[in-house]
Amino acid sequence: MNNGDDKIEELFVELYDAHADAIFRFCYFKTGDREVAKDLAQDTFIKVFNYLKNSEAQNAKSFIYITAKNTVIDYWRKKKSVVESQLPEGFFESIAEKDNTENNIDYSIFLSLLDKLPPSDRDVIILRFIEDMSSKDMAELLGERENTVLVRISRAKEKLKNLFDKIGNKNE
Amino acid sequence: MNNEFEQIKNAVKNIKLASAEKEKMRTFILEKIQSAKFEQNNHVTNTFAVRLYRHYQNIKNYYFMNNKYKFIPIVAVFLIVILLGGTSAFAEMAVPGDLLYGVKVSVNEPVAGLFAFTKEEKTEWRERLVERRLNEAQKLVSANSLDEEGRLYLEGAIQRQIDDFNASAEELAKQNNESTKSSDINIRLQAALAAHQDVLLAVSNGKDVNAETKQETDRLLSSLAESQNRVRNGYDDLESSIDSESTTETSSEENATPTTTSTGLALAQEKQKTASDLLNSMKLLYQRERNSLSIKTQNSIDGKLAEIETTFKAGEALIASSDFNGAASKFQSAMSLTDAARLLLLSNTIKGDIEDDMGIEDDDGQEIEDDNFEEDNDYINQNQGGQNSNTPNNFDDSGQGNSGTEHD
Repeated sequence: MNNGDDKIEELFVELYDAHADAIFRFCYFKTGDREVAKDLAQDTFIKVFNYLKNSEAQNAKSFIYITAKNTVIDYWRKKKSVVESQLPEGFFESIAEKDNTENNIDYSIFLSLLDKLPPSDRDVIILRFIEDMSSKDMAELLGERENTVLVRISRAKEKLKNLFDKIGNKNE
Repeated sequence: MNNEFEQIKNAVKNIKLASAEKEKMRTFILEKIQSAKFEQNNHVTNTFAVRLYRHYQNIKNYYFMNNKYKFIPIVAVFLIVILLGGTSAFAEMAVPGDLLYGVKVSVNEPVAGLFAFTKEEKTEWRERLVERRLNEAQKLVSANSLDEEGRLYLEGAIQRQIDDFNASAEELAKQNNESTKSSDINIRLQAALAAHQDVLLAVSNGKDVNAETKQETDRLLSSLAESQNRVRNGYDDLESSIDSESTTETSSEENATPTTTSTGLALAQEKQKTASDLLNSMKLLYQRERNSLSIKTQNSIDGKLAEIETTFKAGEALIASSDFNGAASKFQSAMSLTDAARLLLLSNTIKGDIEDDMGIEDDDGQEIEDDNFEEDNDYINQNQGGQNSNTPNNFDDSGQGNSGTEHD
């Protein structure tokens, strides 16, 4: 094995260790199936490595997400699903039920609210506030201008807040 | 709001790969990468080995990494093995008329027969097959369920298997002068037939046996007596053919060489060695089985052994006095007596085993007696004519003589 190959492999392992969980989570939120998400994450990283072998990625994180997104699209296409990102009903709520961490009451409400958001708003919320992705990376991933992405984030956040307030009013 | 997002973020980040899953996935990807490199470096992309390796990787990945039902095929294979093994094991206990009997005779036995590689093993296996049919007859009679159909099947199967056995024994005897082994197996079969007849008779005479079973058992017993004759006749034919070959060889040697003394001595010594080997083997067997025999049978065998020893010593004396034909005849008699003693011993041992297996109480302690072998002795007497007619036989009173058995 030559030094160039070694470097690529080292870089790949670094990227894998840093992003494997996030990519798995991304695929999980898109498919709702843990085993399928594992398969897709694995395929994503194999594609990433094959790409790294031949060319340099300017923005590795963004590139990995784009690859994951395309892998998920391919998956749904092969499944011939009518609607992409067709999550099972109450998917996020079920995640909250499974989690036993402290303060789970508050976030479980938020997670259940994610189920109520349209998929496009849900994506930007997850990418921005859960995966801490920058608006620039998001723009690259979503194929939109950065300003558009910022507007989408703002609107999605507003919708989520309204949903939360409604629940708060009901409880009072 | 931002605070809530922080909470969500912390909680949702718990959704991740387990460290083992992450490690496995990394290993898999790196293996895949290595495999791709190998293909690239060796300029092979679609060889059989590479395709095989890919299949292996895919299967490994599918079953052991990403498949939540990974244990289903393993459990399925395990269950199939258990099911087939269990069926086969249960079939071993089946008797004619049982659901699994077909598995026993059409699957278990042919498969077990495949493991008999040498002619000796094949002959032994064919002998075992006859014993298996006899055991089935025993079970049917004990269970009061021997009907005409079952009896006819068993008779037919036993006849066929005895024919196969005779053919196999003949092949074995003619192969590398293995007539001693062939003779041993034949005696074992004769003993098994005698023992089973004895036990069947005792069982069918019991109080609990119904009229139909008793009638069919009597018919079966008559058929088994015929079968025993077939076994003995097969053996006799074989011995006669080997004997005549041996005589022809000796005659041709005598014609070729002017001195007959050395040939006669060689023949006598050969018979002496065979008789001695047979006797030693019989003594070992007797030593091992002695405790399982009744005092009456022990006495009978002891008497036979003493007789064999005397005959053997007489043979040695005749060699010393240069009467080689007489010596050969004595050793032949010793061999025939040893066979008769072996038959007596084995019949009683097998009978004991059958009774143990069937859980039959041997109330009267009756054993197969030496008298049952009078026919053998008659046969020995008949066959001792010819070559021994000119030789004085000191054991005529005992009803023993030469069976014409060649053991070399």
